[in-house]
Amino acid sequence: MIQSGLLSKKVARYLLFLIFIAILGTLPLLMPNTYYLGNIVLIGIYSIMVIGLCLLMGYAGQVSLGHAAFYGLGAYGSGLLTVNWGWQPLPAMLAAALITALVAFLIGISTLKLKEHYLALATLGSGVIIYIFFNEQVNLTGGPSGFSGIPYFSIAGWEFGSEIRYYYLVWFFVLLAVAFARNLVNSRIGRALRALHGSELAAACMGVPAYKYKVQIFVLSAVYGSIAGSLYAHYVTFISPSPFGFQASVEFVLMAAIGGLASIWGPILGVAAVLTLTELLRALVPVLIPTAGGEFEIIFFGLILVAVMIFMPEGLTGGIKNRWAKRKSGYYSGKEQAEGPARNVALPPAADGRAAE
Amino acid sequence: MIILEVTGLSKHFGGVTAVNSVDFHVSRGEIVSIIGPNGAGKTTLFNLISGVAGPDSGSIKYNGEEIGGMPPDRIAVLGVTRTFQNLQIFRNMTVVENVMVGAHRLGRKGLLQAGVRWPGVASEESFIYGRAIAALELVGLGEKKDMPAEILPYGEQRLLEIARAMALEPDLILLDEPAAGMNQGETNGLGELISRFPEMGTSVLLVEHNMEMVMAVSHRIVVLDHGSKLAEGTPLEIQQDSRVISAYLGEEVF
Ligand SMILES: Nc1ncnc2c1ncn2[C@@H]1O[C@H](COP(=O)(O)OP(=O)(O)OP(=O)(O)O)[C@@H](O)[C@H]1O
Ligand SMILES: [Mg+2]
Repeated sequence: MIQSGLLSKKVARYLLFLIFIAILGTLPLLMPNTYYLGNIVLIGIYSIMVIGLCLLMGYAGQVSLGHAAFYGLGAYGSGLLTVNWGWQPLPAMLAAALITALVAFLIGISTLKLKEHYLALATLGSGVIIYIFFNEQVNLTGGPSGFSGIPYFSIAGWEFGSEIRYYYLVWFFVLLAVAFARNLVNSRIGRALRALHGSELAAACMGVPAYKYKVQIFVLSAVYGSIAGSLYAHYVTFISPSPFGFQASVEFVLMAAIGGLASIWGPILGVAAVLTLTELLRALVPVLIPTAGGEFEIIFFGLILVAVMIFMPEGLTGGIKNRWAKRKSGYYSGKEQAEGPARNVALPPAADGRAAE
Repeated sequence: MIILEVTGLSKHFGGVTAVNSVDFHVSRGEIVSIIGPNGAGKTTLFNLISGVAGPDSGSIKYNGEEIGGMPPDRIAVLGVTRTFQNLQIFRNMTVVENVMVGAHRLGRKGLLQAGVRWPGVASEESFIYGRAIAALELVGLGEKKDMPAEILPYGEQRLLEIARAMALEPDLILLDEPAAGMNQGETNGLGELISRFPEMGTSVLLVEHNMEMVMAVSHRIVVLDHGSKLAEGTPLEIQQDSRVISAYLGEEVF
């Protein structure tokens, strides 16, 4: 009975995936104009970033408040290597990812051994430093005004110059990102990370090296951000520091939280929800409150983040899944958790001990 | 052959001496029990051996290697693991997933290999799954493998912890009050199970308040009182030891 339930669940999941691929493949052909397609390209880029952040938040139980900086390192790395040094986009992307990994590794090893919120603080600080670096190193980065002329992404001379081509490129990367994350989560290491969530003490006594895995997953999530940043740079072909600041980091955390931390498809939903909200907000707020400035956005998102954490701590997908699971199965109905009963110091019959050896 | 040798081991918490210069050993294939009244220092002793806490002084040698002060994950990888008096199951995972974490040290594939499903990852996964199923069947929880671990009744959660620890294929297992919360039938089954561990290659260090079980399964018993070793001997010797009777077991026990 349980067997067939699992099987049909597997089939359903497979079907869902095929439908998703079909929609993804035909979407550009159905789009009335490239404006919408451009938005979907951005959703894809952010999704890669947020999938990485979800791995960190959902599976390693850590928050990064500076992930936009890794995104920026990817973007600037790709931009500088291609524009100033004439690298090809693909090797530039890999090199930028490597640099980002190194930076994340240094932040990770120095903070992840400490408890809870140190990583959040360290990433916040590092994020600010990297942001200042982008702004101040005018000779290298062009400072606040940034620099342009970044080539389109290309592989072996084949250029992803049109909106449609770029769409396919980005979503191909999204699928890779999802596949890697899914494989990881369903592996020995993924289980170990979830175990850390359940009981760090027991996980350690089962031989799980908590610190090592936390550093690894943090570096991985930074690399996800870096790849997203590279894709962004080659898409807009012009970069300046502003998309890589603190506000962006908070928005990424919000996207991850809304989407649901412990799921792999959730991030895409979270990104789409936040980007749609941003568009709505930008259209509505000036009409309703003419005097409101840009800070309105961050206040609004801050409030949403708090609300999500309180009312839907597992995000959109988690919330829906839980409600569904509760309705469908009796599993979670009887939540009796027996307390340890009184100690049993029983009276033994004079049992004779077995001899050792 | 001695697998675990503890000498002069001490641990203080502020003014409390939880473990006071304790000596004992476990030979390969032995079941040794640690008994003593509440607060005698039994769990603290387990914490020291498993690396959950570091000793203040003394030594803990496992197969001749000093493990005192090592982190718990390294000690586990060496083949020493434990269960917990206050249950520490992974509530967010299914029964079989819990036990698969126990088999963690039997795998080698890293994060990158797992992410790209490198050849060998799939076979390693099914090997670990097989180990976990075998461990669940050992404790009689095979039927419940796909349930969320948190819905198991208390006694079965204790068995789950034992299965998880046994999946590690440990050379030495530390069981902290495994029978707490079990009824008489379950306790008897548990005693029989523990008795079979040595023939599976796992020596046992047992902390348990159920004297019937302790007397039945132990080869040797160490009695702790206020952190110090009060007595040591076969179950028969311990039952006849006047110091033990007055300090712990009480007149009415025998
Ligand atoms: N982390 C700690 N901090 C402070 N004191 C502690 C700590 N752990 C244990 N103790 C103290 O050390 C002493 C021994 O405790 P321990 O838990 O080892 O006893 P036990 O023999 O396992 O008792 P029980 O049979 O109740 O489980 C007690 O006095 C306890 O209060
Ligand atoms: Mg105890």
